[in-house]
Amino acid sequence: MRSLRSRLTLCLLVGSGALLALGGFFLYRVIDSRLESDFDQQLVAKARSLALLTEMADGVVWVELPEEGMPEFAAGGGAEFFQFWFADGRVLRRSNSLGSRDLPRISSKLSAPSDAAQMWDAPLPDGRPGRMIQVTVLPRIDDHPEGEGSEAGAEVRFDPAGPKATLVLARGRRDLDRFLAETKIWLGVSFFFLLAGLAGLVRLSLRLGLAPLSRLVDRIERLDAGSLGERIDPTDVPAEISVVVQRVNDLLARLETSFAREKAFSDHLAHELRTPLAELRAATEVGLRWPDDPVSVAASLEDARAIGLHMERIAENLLALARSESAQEAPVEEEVPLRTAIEEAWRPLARAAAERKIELRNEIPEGLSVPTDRAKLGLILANLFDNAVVHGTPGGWVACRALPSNNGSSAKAPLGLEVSNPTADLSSNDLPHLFDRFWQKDPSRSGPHAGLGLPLVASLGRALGLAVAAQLVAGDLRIRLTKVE
Amino acid sequence: MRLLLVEDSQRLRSTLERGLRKLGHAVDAAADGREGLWLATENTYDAIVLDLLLPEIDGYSVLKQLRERGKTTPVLILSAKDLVEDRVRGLDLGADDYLVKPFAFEELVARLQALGRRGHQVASPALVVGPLTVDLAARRVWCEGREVRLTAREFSVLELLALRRGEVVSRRDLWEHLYEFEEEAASNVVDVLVYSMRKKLESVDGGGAARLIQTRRGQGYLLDEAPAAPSGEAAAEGAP
Repeated sequence: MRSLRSRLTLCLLVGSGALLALGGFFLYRVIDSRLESDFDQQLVAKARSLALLTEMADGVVWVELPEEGMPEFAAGGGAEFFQFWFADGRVLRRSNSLGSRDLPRISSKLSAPSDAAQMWDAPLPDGRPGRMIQVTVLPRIDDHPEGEGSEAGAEVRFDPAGPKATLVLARGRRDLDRFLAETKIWLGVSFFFLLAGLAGLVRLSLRLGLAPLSRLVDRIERLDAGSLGERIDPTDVPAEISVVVQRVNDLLARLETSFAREKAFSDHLAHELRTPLAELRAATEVGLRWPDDPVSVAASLEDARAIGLHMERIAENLLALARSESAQEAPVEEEVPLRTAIEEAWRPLARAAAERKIELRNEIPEGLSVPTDRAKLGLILANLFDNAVVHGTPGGWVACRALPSNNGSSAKAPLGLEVSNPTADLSSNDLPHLFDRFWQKDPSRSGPHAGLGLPLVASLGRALGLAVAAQLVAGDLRIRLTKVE
Repeated sequence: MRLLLVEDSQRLRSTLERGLRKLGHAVDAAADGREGLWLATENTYDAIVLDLLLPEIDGYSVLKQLRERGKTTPVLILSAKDLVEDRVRGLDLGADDYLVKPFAFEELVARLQALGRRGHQVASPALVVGPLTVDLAARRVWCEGREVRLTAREFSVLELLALRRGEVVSRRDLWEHLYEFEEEAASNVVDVLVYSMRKKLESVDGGGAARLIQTRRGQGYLLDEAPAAPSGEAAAEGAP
């Protein structure tokens, strides 16, 4: 998986490189165009200057060019070249640098006007690369053939009907080509240096820009089961990822709660199983140590039996809970008379309730029945009553009443059932834990219950489509089982 | 040994009380942390067996308060909590041993005896005093290679005398070693036990070993390798 940093680096470098290359290309084109244009303009200006030196008098045409004043046309390296032709093809004049050689020309264009210059690239006679211009020359009429010189301000005249000549001027362009080539090289080198600098800048920028993200990743990597209580400071991260941090913190909080719940479950389970096992082992070992002592053996056996019954209850509740949660037993629905079901569930506990002077207040109307699973409802009621009898206030009561439906109609179709009893031990902080497995109010877990009754009630309630909730109202614990709409 | 058992499980508490008493130990028992702390503070025990999950005051707090009050009684934690951090916490708070439930009764007894020996700076479970060999682990006594059959309480008297050999042990100390907090016994019960023990030793070797147990008037008893003269105090106070 490619990293965000490498992806951003690649995108930024490719994008920047393309822009730099495009910029370099256009810059080169501008320089090239400008230099070529300047070169051509200079060539045109020089060709026109030479053309103006062509004179005619009495039908004779000549070029009034003192070559000693124009050393660029002298023979030698780096020279420029020119050549005049008459219209009939005869050579009027050559530059000294040309010697007896000829410049190439475009013969078909002789009738073109003198300012219609034509230019092209071609090798010079000495082999150098060059550029050539061809112009048509209209000789200037010389009014003073005897060499008296023209008067200042005298008008320059041409005879359009007179003879015409052709001038080809050639100049070497090696310097220009070399400069353009060097420019191209420098632009290329600059491109690579800029690209390298840009790469460094991109890496630095990304490292600085992504530093908060890297710190966040390091922080998250260090999190383990032992540091779930820690939180990431949302003010220390950029606004773009503060939402992520908030979500991570929320997730950590949920994980911490889950781990704590899981640990508490394991601790409680260990205690609920280890303590009776310890009791059983100690009882049997002490009994076996003194087998000839009938009192000791009898006490050990009695303890072993009581421990067995206690563990049997835990196992039954755990199995019932597991069966209920795995939905192994689908509810078998039938019309169950609610008042009778309550009396049946109370009966096995009546003696224990009487010892603690706790009475049943069955406020369910006669004849009220509910469509539900009789066995599961019985188990729910038995656990609720057992809980109330063991943990309720001595001398108190256990009240059962039907909850009317939303439309306020008669209790023939109740919304649910409420079982309440006074209790002195619970506080509102305990309510969220009431339905946790193995939860007990007393942290020493010295009570007779393992803390599986109410979780079983909640689980069975879900299987029957009932929501189970607990409230503490004026010291009374109210467990409500209501139909899930 | 005189032991304190602080355990909230009534069945486990009664079983351990029964077993330890049958081994000759004096056992006081408490069902919650508050009572356990009070008993441990008010009395002198050779070892305390302490559960952690207790009503009223949990075992950690009991242990912490005991040590803060300067009580150095060896404490063995007996708990269903088996995590390393639980054990480390208990030992850090001053416990001398930690045993996880469920446990073997024999192991509990052996550990308690080891704690008792450690309290008297004795490493070996077999103490040799002259011709007497007192095996604290097996709770048996040999005199010149022949076993002497002592009752559990006689053995307890000899055990304390052997653990503190060369040192005068007061009758009160012996009494506290033998009897529990709420137990009432005759005022001369220690003297009766010593008399009975001497008789049994005399029947084995003719009186040599019996003379190792010396009576110090107004102070108590002393077990030493140098026997008292037959006509000395021991003979004079041979009978209670």
